Amino acid sequence: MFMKTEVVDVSPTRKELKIEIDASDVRAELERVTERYAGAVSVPGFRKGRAPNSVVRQRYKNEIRGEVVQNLVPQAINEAIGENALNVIGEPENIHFDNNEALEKLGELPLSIHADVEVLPDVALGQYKGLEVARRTRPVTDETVEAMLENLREQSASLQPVEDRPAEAGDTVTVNFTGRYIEPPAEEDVKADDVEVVLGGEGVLADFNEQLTGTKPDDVKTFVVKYPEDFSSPGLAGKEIEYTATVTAVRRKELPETDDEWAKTFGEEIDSLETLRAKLRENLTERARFESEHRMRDELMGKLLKAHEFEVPESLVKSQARRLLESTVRDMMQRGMDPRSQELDWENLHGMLEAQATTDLRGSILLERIADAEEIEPTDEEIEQEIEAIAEGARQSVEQVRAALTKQGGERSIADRLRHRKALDLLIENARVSEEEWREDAPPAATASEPNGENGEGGETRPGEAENS
Amino acid sequence: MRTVWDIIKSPVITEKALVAKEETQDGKQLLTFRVDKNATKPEIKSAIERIFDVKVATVRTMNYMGKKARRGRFEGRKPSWKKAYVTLKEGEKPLDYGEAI
Repeated sequence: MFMKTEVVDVSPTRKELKIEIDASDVRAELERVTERYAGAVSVPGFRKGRAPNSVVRQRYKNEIRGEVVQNLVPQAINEAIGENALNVIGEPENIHFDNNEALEKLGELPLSIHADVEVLPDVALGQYKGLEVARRTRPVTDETVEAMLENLREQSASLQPVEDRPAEAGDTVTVNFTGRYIEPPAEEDVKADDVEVVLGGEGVLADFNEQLTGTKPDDVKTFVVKYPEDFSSPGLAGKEIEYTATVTAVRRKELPETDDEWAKTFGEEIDSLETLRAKLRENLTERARFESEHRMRDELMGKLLKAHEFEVPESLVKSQARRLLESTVRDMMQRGMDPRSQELDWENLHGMLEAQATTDLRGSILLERIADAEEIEPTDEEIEQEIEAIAEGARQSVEQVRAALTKQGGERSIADRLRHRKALDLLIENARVSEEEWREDAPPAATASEPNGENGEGGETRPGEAENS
Repeated sequence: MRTVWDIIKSPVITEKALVAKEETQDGKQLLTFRVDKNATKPEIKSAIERIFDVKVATVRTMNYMGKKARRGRFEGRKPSWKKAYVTLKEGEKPLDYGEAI
C-alpha cells in the first residue's frame, strides 16, 4: 500500500499515528468492493447481479464507502505500526479522518487518517544481573515443632463422658434448652436441643458458664440470661431470656497421649513419635524455605523495579486493576463477606489496587524484556509440566485443564508466565545472594513475581493436615 | 412556470435501456427517458437539447398504462406514463445521465 505515515509522541506510552493513504489505493479498493457488490445486489430494472458498476456505486454509495474504509483503515494502521516498529497494546482508539471531502469523493483524493495507539514503553534494561538480595530463612526450632505437635494434639482430641464429677471449666456440656422471653415478652418460646456448650470456651456467655458449671447429666436448671446490647446475633441482643436447661451429657476433652501409637494415626509412613516430629520439622523447614525464597524474589523484584523507572500504559493498569478488584471481591465472597454491605473504603481500595497493578505490570514488562534479552523461551515440555501442575492444583484432569485453556487462548498466557518465571529464576541465579538472619517484619510490597498467576507454587504445605485426611 | 424538467422526468435506467444506449447503431446514441404524459415530440427534443447541449435526431414516444396495484381489498393503478426514446445525431459524444445535474 502506498502511504505516508507519521508518528507523533503524545507521551511515552501514547502515540498518534497520522496516515495518508494514496488515492490510487483507495480507488483500487473502491473498485474491488463495487465489483463484489455488483455481483450480488439486485437493482430495480436489472436482473440480479447485472447492474453496471456505476449504477451500483450510485445506489449503494454509503455501504460501499463504509466497507472501503473498514477494509483500508485497519490495514493501513497495521502497516503503519509495522513500519514504525511500534509495540502496540490493545486497539487503536479515536480513529478519525482529516478531510471529509476525501470521503465524499472516494478514490479521488488521498485519504488521511488519525489514530491514537498505546504502546509499550521502551525500557532500557539496566543492570539486572548481580543484584544483591538477602535470603532470610525463618528458623525452625524445637519449640516450633513442639507447638505444632501440641496443635495436632488439640485437633485430635476426643470427648469422653464424665461420670465421676460435676462439669467443670473446659468440659463440653450438652443441653436441651427451652427459653422464655422476659424482656421484651414474646409469645414464642425458643427451643434448642443438643446444644453443646464448652465451658469457658470462646464466645460462650459468662452466664452460661456460671450456671452450667457443676451440673451433672439429667440436671435441670432454670436461670435468666441477659444478652448484652452488642451481642453478635441481632435477634438476641439486649434481650432477657429465662432458660430451662436439661443437661443430657457432660463430656471432657481427652487429649491423646503423645506417644508412638498416636503418631501412627497420621499416616502409614509414620511409625513413631520421632518420625512424626521429623516429618513436622521437614514440613516446617520446607515452608520456611519456600517463604524465604518468595521473600527473596519479592525483594529482588523490588530492587529491579527501583532501578528501572518507566511509565505503564494506562489501559493496561486499568484492566489489571479491574482483575485485581474482581479477585478481591471473589475472595471476600468466599470468606462469607458481602462486598456490598462491607463498610469498605472503595476509593482507597481502588487506589491501592491501581498502585498494585502498576507494580505488577512494571514487573511483568521488565521480566518480559529480560526474557527477550536472554532469549528465554519455555519449551513445550515445560508448558506441559505447568499444565499438569495446574491440573493437580485444581484437582482436574490434564485434559480438562487443557480444554479450558484452549478455550481462553491460555496456552499463550502459560507460556508467558513460564517465561517470566524463568527470567526471574535467571535473575536469582545471577544475583549475589547473602544469607542473613531472619527478620519478622513484612517484606516490601512488591509482589510482582507472578502478576497473572493464581496458583502459587505449591503454597499448601500444611504439616499434619495432608497426612491426616 | 413550465421548465424542461417538467417535460423530462428522469432517465430510464434499466438493463434494456442501458444496453440500447451502449449498442449504439450507426454511431448514434439512443437515450431513454420518462417524460410528461402530455409532452410532444418537439417539446421533448428541445428539452433534451437544452439539458444536455446535444443535437437530437429523432424522438419516438410511447404511452405506458400504469400497473395494477392493490392495497388489501382496494385495487387501483399506478400512474400511467410516457416513455421517450431519443436518438442523438451522429458524432455526439457519449453521454452520461449524471451530466444533467
